[in-house]
Amino acid sequence: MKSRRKLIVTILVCGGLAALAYFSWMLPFYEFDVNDYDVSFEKLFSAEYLRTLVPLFIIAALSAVGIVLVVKLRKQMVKSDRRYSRFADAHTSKQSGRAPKQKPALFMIVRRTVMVVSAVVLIWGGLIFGLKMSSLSLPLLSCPWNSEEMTASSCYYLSHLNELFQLPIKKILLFVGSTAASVILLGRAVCGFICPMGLIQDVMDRLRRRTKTEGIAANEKLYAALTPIKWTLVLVFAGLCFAGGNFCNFCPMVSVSPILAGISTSLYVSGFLMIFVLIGSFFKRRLFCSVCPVGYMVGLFHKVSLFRVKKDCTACTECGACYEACPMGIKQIYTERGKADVTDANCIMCGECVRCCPEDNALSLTFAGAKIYSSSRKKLMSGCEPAEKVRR
Amino acid sequence: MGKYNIGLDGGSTYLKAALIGKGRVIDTEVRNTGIDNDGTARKLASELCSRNGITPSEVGCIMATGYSRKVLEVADDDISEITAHAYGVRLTAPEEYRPGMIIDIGGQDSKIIYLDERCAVKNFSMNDKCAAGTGKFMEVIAQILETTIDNVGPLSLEASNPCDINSTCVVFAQSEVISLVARKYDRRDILAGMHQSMARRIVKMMKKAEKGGDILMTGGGALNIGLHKAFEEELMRDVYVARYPQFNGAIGAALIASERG
Amino acid sequence: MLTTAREQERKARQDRRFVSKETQTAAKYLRRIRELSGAPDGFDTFIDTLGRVYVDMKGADVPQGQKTIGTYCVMVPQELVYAAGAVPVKLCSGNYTAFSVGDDIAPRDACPLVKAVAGFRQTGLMPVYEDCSMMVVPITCDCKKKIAGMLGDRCEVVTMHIPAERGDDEIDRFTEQLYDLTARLEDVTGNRVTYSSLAEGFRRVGRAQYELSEFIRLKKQLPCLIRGTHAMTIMNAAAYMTADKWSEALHRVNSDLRKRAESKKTVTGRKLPRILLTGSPIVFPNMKIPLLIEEMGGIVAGDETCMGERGMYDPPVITDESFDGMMRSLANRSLRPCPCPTFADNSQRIYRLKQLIADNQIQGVIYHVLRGCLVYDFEYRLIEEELGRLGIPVIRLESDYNEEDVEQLRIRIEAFIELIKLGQAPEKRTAPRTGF
Repeated sequence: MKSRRKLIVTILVCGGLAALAYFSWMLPFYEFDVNDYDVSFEKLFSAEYLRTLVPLFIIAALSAVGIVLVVKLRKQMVKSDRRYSRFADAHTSKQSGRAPKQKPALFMIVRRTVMVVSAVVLIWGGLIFGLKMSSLSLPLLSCPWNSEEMTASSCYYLSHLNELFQLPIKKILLFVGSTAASVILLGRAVCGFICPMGLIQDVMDRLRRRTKTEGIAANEKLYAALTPIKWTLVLVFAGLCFAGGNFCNFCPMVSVSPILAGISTSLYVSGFLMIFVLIGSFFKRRLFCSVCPVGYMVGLFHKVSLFRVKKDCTACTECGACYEACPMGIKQIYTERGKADVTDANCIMCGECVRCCPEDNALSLTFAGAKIYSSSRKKLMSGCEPAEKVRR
Repeated sequence: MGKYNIGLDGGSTYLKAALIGKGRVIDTEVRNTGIDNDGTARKLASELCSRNGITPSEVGCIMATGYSRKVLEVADDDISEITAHAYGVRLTAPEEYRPGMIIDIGGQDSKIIYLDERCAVKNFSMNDKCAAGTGKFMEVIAQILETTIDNVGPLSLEASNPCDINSTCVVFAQSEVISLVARKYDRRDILAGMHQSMARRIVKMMKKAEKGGDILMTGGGALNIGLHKAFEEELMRDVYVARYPQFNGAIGAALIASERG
Repeated sequence: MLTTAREQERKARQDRRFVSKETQTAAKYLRRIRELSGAPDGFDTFIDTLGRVYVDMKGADVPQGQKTIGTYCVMVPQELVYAAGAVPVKLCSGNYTAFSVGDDIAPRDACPLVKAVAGFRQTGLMPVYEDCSMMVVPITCDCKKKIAGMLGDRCEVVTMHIPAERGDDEIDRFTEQLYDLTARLEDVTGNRVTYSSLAEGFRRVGRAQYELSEFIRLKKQLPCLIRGTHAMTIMNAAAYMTADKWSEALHRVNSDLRKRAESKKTVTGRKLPRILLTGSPIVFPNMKIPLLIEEMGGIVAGDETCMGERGMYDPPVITDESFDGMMRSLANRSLRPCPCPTFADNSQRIYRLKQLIADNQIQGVIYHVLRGCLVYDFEYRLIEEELGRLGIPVIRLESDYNEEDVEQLRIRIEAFIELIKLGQAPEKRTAPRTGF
């Protein structure tokens, strides 16, 4: 019964997307008269660059308006609720206090640095270092329309399978080989470490945390509701090319990466969807990752990837902190009571669960069997350490 | 390093002593506890030695157990009855006994000890608040029925139509027995009924999950053939009786002592 | 109503007797704890706190002008109470004298803890209880439900519904309850709970939890640096101390334990059988079981009881730094990691026990059941089976709040300790014997 309802929702969303695509000429930036693919390193520092960025600014502004509207609306709702009305002021960001916070772990610093570096490289890499590795593909959602990517994104040929088979055999082998290698070596760690789309969403999430705005808590129902959307996107992603369409017209990333590289290009529906992604990821961390078709495809091979999440089931107290912290809403990580390996198809190796786990060594991230990040109560409680250090 | 070891079991009514050496029971002795526990124990120990031609220097560790174990200063150390009984089984159980459970019917308490395959205590339950189901209970009833404790067992075997005795308390059971006597019931039937009710009570203490292995009866109560039969009937399976049932605790204590030199 | 002077006098006499009996028992147990060897430096603070409440009959040590809020379960988040500018005290009782009073009020099969609480309510003599501006009673069992009603006619009472499952919806609903509780707390104290004050509450309790996790880390060391009875006393004293004072005092204890660890000074010279105590709550002054274990030559190397380590063990993990996120982290902490048998899940505690057994190298488990505490009794079978598979002996001790069963408990505990000891190599006797 449930899956039938999901199917219906999937079909409806498909129809919605089709209608959106059909009427998208009414949206801003639907199509430019001329697409300007001409970029250079110098262009990044010219006034012209600012002009190319205008669509991005509009998208950001619209998202900001959307976020503010949602926050205001929510506050109105809180005020009218009998139970919560008196706490309406406690919700605001003007409070000075800060909740105890643990010191950042090395893993997290490394992850964030890698994300920023890879985002820079994937957007401006070609301009900085030249196009040396462009025949390799990583399974990312970093737009291949941006010709200045350091490496190519597999997403283009994955969503244009009919074009893939027209390529010379050497290119096909390179594409399949490099994609498969990164799927095995990294798995969905590419989402957590490399994907620029992930970085954008993480930045939105940090913004929310800074402003102490209430987010959407982990809830199975939410993830169940997202499933049909995921199916739609996977369907559109893999199947549209055979129907003569182009997934890139829907892909939100088209509105970010090429523009940042200085390319002026038509955005079709993507700019519109990007607003949704930005608002969504502001309130729910990595919301798009839950529906991302590329991530889904990589996730299919999670059993062979070298990054693993390991759990010591006796050390676990089932406190659910990992589940609350998990941006992908993976529940089994705290309910699992037998297996040592809790790597899930949705896991993006962001390490949040390990960071929030209060039990020593209950959760750990491993790469090819070697532990790279383990949970520790001492680290978790580091925000509550007494001011003066104990003298021995 | 002595060749022999003595175990002393200071029970509520009797003080039991056992002398063991070379892995077997050499001699046992029992005496009324009296007022001077320690003195009685010393007397018992020296009596056992002289009777078997053993000098005190040949006796190694002495271990006390039972109710008054703390006051027996002649002993080097003491151990609880539960552990002692479990150990005693190694020497007193019949050959074919597979360790599983011990039912110990003592003077003032009865206990059930669960053993694993190596005769180590797995768990135990005790009836230590109430005298029902103990040797004392049998004594009281025997007195009412004008017989002695030794005759209780054989007499009850002659019963043709055992009575129901449902009271669980000694005092209440006593009055129940008196009323049965007044109603001219045969005392053999009353005794058989008493054994049945005791067995029922003790079986109730057992855990159903732990009925693996065989059942061994120890303690003074095991000398009572009627009670033994009642247990077999109640449990519907074989119940073994230990050799030297009364001395099982003392033998166990001596056995533990032998491990200490 | 007391109308005549004579009746008033009689009541006064009865009260005096109650107080003298209560203080005597409490003082006796404090003395027995004090007499145990190997108390760490700074331990006296905890003894003094318990003495203050039970022997001197004074209220909890609360800063001037702050109200006290009575709590009846560890599932009440202390952070909220601190955020509202009040001080939480844990009122679950282990008092023998109050128990005997409450025995007449509550039905026979009610658990002694609830009977003791009923006894204190009946006499109205215990300042810790009488000082409370409000009481928060999570409904963890039927007895708690009825006692909440009983307490309600003396004092403002907030009940909290504890769900049987711990899914997402239950956490949502419990968060709503926490909001309601916060509103009631605000009304009673007159302070507003704001983001800053809640964060401050988190910080204060977090500081105590930091010290506790240090303490637990030190406690794990082999051989033992501290006796379990002392550790349990420390945890019990937390009920009547502010988090600040408690963490300060525990900090002193921790630094002494660190010194002990460095100088290899352990609490006893010999290797003692290491016992884990779990089951129904063990509340001061009902310390007969841990005291018996240590007096009979064992050592309580771990405890998994709610007035013991479990009470403050799990920290709230803030995964979302908003006000709502903090409330949710409290709800999550209260329900999910709690191995309390009030939840339908019977297996969670087994994992916790297995971890404690591995951490503290436990050799035997004593399962304490308060008479009438059905939920704990239910789980015994499963735990016995599971631990049996690990080869860890388990014994179930049922007891009540009185001293009549001490001898029976003693023989059980003694045999249990012997059982563990016999697994170890015995000491040899060497001196030659000359006579009897």
